[in-house]
Amino acid sequence: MTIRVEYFGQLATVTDKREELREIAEGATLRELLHDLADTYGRPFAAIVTDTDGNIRPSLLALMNGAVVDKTDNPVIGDGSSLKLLSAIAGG
Amino acid sequence: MHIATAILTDEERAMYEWQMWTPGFGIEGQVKLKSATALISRCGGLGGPLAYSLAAAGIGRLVIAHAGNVRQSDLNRQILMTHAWLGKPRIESIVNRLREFNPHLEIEGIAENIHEGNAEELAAKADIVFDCAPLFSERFLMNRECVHQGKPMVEAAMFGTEGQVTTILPGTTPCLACIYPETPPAWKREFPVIGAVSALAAQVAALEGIKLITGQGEPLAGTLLYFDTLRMRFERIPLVRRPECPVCGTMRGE
Repeated sequence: MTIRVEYFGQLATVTDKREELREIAEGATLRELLHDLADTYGRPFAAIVTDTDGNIRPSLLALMNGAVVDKTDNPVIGDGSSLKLLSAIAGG
Repeated sequence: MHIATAILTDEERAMYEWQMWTPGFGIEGQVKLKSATALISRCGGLGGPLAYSLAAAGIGRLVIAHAGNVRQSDLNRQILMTHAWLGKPRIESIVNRLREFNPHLEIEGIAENIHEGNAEELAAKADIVFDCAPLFSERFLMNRECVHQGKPMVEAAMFGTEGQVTTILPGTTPCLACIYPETPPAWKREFPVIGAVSALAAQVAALEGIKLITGQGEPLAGTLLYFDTLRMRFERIPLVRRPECPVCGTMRGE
C-alpha cells in the first residue's frame, strides 16, 4: 500500500524532506510506521516521535486524512492515506 | 473579558480614524483596545512585531517580560532591538522603541523572563496574554497561570519557515498541556529563524488579540493555524481537549 507522509518542524529537518510516498504493509499501524521511519531516519527522528519504550510520544502531533490522531488508539493506516507529522515547536 | 472603559482624546481619534473605519470596529472597538492590558512573554522575533502591531492599533497598556542584553544574533528578527543598544538590556531597547512609536502607550518593562516566581503576578496584571517564549518550560508556566486565572492566551510559535498560532480560552478550548502533554524532549533553545516568519506568526497573533479584545470575528479557539511558508500552505488543525489534562481537565467552559 502507498501512503503520503508530510513532515513539519524538526521532522522536516531530520528527514531533510517535506514529504514522501511510502510503501507500508496492509494493516500497518501508526506506531509501526513511525518505527519504520525511525529505521530510515535514525536516532534524531526516533527521539521526536517515540519514547524509550517505543511508544508514540504524546508531544507528537499526527494528522491522518486531516483529523488529529489519538495516539493512544494507534490507528491502522488505510491505503492511500495522507499523514502529517508535526513536531512541537516553540520558536519566537 | 471584562475591561474598564477608557476615553479617547481628540488626538487619539485622529490617530485611529482609519482603523475605526473598519466595519464593526468603530469608536467602541478603539475604546476597548485603549482600555485593555496585554502581557507579552518574551519580546524577540515574534513578540517584538506583535508588540509593535498592538501599539500601532492603540492598545492601552503593555506588560512585557524579556531578560538579557541585545546581541548581534538578535538583529535578524528582533525589530525592537537596535545596533546602538548592543550589549545593553533588551527590555530598555523594547520600551524605548515602543514609546517612540506610540507615546500614548503605557508600558511596563520587566527585565525577566517568565519563571515560577513571577508567572502568577504577571498574568494577573493582564486582560490577555501573548505567549512568545522560546522554551516550553516558560510556555507551560504561562499556560498554567492563564488557565488558573481564566485569562485568554494567544499561543504563537515558529520554526525555520513554519509557524503556528492558536487561541486558548481556559475551560473552553484545549490548553497548551492538552496539545503537548509532555515537554517535547527534542526541542532546542536555539532554532532556525527567518524574521519574516516570526513576524507573520506575530501578526496572526496580534489579530487574534485585537479580535478578542474588541469582540469581533471568530478566534482560533480550538484550532491550530499551521503555516508552511516554503509552500505557502495554511492549514487549520482542529484541537481536542483532554479530560485527563492536569492543567485544565476539570474546568468547565463559560
